[in-house]
Amino acid sequence: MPVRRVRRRYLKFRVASEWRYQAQDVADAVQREVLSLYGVHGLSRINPVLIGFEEEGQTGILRCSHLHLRLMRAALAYVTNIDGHAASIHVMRVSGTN
Amino acid sequence: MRRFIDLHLRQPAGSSDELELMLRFAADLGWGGVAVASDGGQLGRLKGLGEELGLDVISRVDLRPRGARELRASLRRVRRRFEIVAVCCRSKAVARQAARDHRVDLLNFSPSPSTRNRAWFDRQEASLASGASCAYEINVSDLLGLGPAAGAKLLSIIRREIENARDHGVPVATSSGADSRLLMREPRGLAALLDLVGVGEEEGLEMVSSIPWGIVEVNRGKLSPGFIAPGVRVVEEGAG
Repeated sequence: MPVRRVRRRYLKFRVASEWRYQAQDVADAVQREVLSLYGVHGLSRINPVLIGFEEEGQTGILRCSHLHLRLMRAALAYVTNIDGHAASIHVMRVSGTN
Repeated sequence: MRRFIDLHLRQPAGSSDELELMLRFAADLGWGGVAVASDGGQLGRLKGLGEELGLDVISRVDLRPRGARELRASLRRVRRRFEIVAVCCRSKAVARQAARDHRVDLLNFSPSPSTRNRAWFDRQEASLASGASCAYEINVSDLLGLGPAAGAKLLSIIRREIENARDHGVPVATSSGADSRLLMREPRGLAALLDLVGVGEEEGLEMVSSIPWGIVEVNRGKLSPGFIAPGVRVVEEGAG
């Protein structure tokens, strides 16, 4: 029986802040924001996963379900602080397969 | 390809360097144009910087009148000096006068849900704005950093305001309203935030591109030397 492959989107993003963050801070902030906006149900559907984060340039790659890319973008745009310090997250590029 | 425009960057308190950094950041984020709310003093310098960055810098004034009479007097003073005139409606009297005045481009409302309960973009306001070709503006910075209760309340009000605007054919423009780099967002991020108030993807992108550009182009036409009245302009000059 054919299995339907899960399609995903990969978002390259940059953190803007006076502070420098580690991967876990960013992953926590993303999860907190998705939870705050869409709840547990939304978090399970969007399924954001931090694939990698480069502390030097404060850039990273997030993975999410392709059906909920817009919700993911909204949650990232809604971020105003990370670990208690003012910050914002900007999506630079989105990739994925059709 | 879409050309995105953020119709509202506010003058940051303190250093004027921050505004320059905000323009550079806007260009970096992919904006094609930004309107800067200022008294007009440093606009020439900012427009020059915009040209360097490939960013169209638009002049804007935010009026915060206390009454209808003060609004009319302010409009007489500023209309020919700025490309965008926005009115922050803090009372119903001001909101009604602004919505029926053809010299007003954008109407925006208090970020505080309690004040917004008194003066908001209700149906009567939408009907007046529709007749005067005013647009309704959402400042996304109003939504950021609010607690869950206040955030939910404001989202609910904005959702109803957008429905009123749609029902009466009033254009909706979405701006950042940022007064610092940390409140600025990339165009698609700003449009995605509109999902929270029931705006679809395509409609959201229009609210940060073609709708605000339309307002700027019409006003630039009106401010150009050949403009006489809507639909009438000088096509040839000379004694014949």
